Amino acid sequence: MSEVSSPTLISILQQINMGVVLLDDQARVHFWNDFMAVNSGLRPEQALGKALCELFPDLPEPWLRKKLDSVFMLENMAFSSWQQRPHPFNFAGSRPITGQAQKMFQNATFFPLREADGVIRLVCLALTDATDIAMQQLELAELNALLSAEKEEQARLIKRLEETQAQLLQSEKMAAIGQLAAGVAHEINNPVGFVNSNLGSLKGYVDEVFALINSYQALIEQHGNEALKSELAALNKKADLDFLISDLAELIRESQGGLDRVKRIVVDLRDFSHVDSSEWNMADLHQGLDSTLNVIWNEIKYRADIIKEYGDIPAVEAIGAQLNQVFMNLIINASHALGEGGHIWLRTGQVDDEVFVQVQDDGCGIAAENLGRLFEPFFTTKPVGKGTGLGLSLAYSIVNKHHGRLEVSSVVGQGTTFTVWLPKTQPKAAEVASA
Amino acid sequence: MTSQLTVLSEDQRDALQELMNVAMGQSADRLARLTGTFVTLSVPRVHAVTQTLDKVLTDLGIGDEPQLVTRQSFLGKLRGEVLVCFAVSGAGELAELMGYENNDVASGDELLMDVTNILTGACINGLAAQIQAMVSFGAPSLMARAKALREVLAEQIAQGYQSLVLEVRFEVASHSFTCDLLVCITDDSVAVVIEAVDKLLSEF
Ligand SMILES: Nc1ncnc2c1ncn2[C@@H]1O[C@H](COP(=O)(O)OP(=O)(O)O)[C@@H](O)[C@H]1O
Ligand SMILES: [Mg+2]
Repeated sequence: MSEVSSPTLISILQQINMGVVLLDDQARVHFWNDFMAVNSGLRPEQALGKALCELFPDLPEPWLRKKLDSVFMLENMAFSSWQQRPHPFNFAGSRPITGQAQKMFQNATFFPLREADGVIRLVCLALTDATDIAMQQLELAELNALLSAEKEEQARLIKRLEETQAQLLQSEKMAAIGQLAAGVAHEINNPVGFVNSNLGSLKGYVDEVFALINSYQALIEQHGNEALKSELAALNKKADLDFLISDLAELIRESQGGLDRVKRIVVDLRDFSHVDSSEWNMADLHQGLDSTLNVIWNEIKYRADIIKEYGDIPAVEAIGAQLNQVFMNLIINASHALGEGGHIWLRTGQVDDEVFVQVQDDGCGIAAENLGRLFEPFFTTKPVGKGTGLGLSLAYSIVNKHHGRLEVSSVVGQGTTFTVWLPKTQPKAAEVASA
Repeated sequence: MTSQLTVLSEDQRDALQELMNVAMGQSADRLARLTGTFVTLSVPRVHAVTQTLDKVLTDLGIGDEPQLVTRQSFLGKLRGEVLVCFAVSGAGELAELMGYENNDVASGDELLMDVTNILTGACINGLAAQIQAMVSFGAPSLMARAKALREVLAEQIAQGYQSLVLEVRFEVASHSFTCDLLVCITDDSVAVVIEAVDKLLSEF
C-alpha cells in the first residue's frame, strides 16, 4: 500500500465539503479551502495573510481571541455549537429552495496543529454545516411547544368542564328542591291559613267568654247573695278559674307564635321557589340595605351594633326585592352568630366593574368542615324551629341569577364575612346564551 | 463480570490520587495563564461507583440542590464523560475572563460550554498525558437546567452502571466562582488507568 502524497492530502483538504481554515496566534489565515471560498465569496488570495476578524467584521474579536488562546495555551480543542452561536460566519443558508433558513447554521471545532517538532504554531478551524439538523431540531422544538400549549389548553378545558358539571349539578339540585319546596309551601299554606284565622277567632271568642264570666261575677257581687257568693267562690276555686284564664291566654299566644314560625318557613320556602318574581331595575343597594334593616330591626337590635361603612357605588341592574332577601338572610345569620355585645359591619364598594356588599360579624365563625355545605338547601346548625337551612341557598341562587358571586370567609371564634359581588349591568341575553 | 473498580486497592487509590494531583497542578497553571487570574483546582477525590449512585452523591454532598449541569465526553482508550455542575445562575462571573460581553444574556450558554470544554480539557488532557493515552473530545452540551443532580443522573444513567468518579472543584477566588466537576471514567477503560497507576507504584 502506497503512502498518500502530500499534494493529494492538500487537495483533499482543499475540496472536502467542510470549512478548513488554519490560523496563527494572531488569527491570521494560513489556509483557506474551497468550502470557505465558495460560501464567503473570498478567494484564497484575498483571504491568506489577513486577520479573520478583518475578513469578517461580524465575528466578535474577543470571542475568537479567547478560543484561540485557549487552544494554544491549553493545547486543547475548543468548540462552537449552532445551538449557542448559530451563525459564526455569515454564510447563506445551505437549503436555498426548500429551507426557511436564511443563513447557514454552523458547528465549529478549533484544534491545535502539532507539527513534527512538537510545537504548536497553527490552529485548525473545522467548520461544518449544521443547517439540516438545526432545522429539524427547531421544527421539533416548535412542534413541542405547540403540543404542550395544546395540552395546557386541554387541561384548562377539562377543568372548566368539571366546574361546569359541578355547577350544573348544583343548579339541578336547587331546581328540584325548588319544585319540592313550592309544592310543600302551597300545601301547608292553606291549612296554616285557616288554622291561623280560626285561632284569631278563637282568641276573640275566648276573650268574650272571659268577659262574660267577669260580668256574671260582678252581677253576683252586686246582688249580695252570700250563699251564692260562697258557692261561686268554691266553684271558681275548684275549677282554678284564675289559672285557666291566664293559661288559656298563654296557650293561645304560644300557638300564634308557633303559627307565625310556620308562616315564616312557608314564606322562606315560597321565596326560595319563586326566585324569578319581580322586575329588573337599576337598584340603589344602600336604600335596599336600609329598608331591610328596618324590617328586621326588632330581631337584631338587642343583639348587635350595626356599623355602616357605605362606599360610593352606582346603582346596579337587579331585582331589588330579591337582593333585599339576600341582605336580610345574611344580616339575620350574622345576628344569630353573635354573642353578647357583638358587631355587624355593613360595607359596600366597587372594584373594577363589580360592586360588592359585605356583611361581616365578630360572632362564632364557621367550622371548616361546614364551609363547603353552607349553600346547600336545608343545611343548618341551628336547633329545630330556629333554622330552616334555606336562607343561604336562597341567597346563593339569587346572586347567581344576578351573574354575581357570593363569597364567604370565616375564622372560628373570630367571625365571618359574606361578600356579595354584583356586576353593574347584566350581560345581554345573547352573551349569556353563548357564554 | 467482576468490576475493575471493586479490586481497586488502597495503594492504587492513593497512587491514582497522586496522578490526578499532578495533572490538576499542571492544568491549574495553564488556566491561570489563559485567564490571567489565579485559579485553584482542588485535590481530586476518587470515588468508585460500586454502590448506588445515590450513595456517592450523598458522599459528595451535591446531589440535591438544583443546578445547571453540562457534560462533555472524552473518547479513546480513556473513555467517559465529565459532568460540570454550575450554580443555577450559571457562570456569568467569568464572562469577562472568557472574552464575552458582560451583559450579553444570549451568550450565557455559550460561556458555560466554553468553561465546560476548558475544564474538561484541563482535567482529561492532564490525566491522559500522565498515563500516555490519546484522547479526543466531543462537543460539550447542556444536560439540565435547574435540576437536582440526583434527578438528572437517575434519568440518564443506567441503573447498576459502574464507573470511576473523580470529583474536582474548580475555583476562581477573585471572581467568587466555583463549580464541581465529576469526571466519570467507564468501567472498561479504568483498566488503562489502573495499569498506569501500577506502573507508577512500581517506580517507587
Ligand atoms: N354569619 C354566620 N356566622 C356563623 N355561622 C353562619 C353564619 N351564616 C350562616 N351560618 C351557618 O350556616 C348555616 C346555614 O345558614 P342558612 O342557610 O341561613 O340557614 P339557617 O340560618 O336557617 O340555619 C347556619 O345554620 C349556620 O351554621
Ligand atoms: Mg339563615
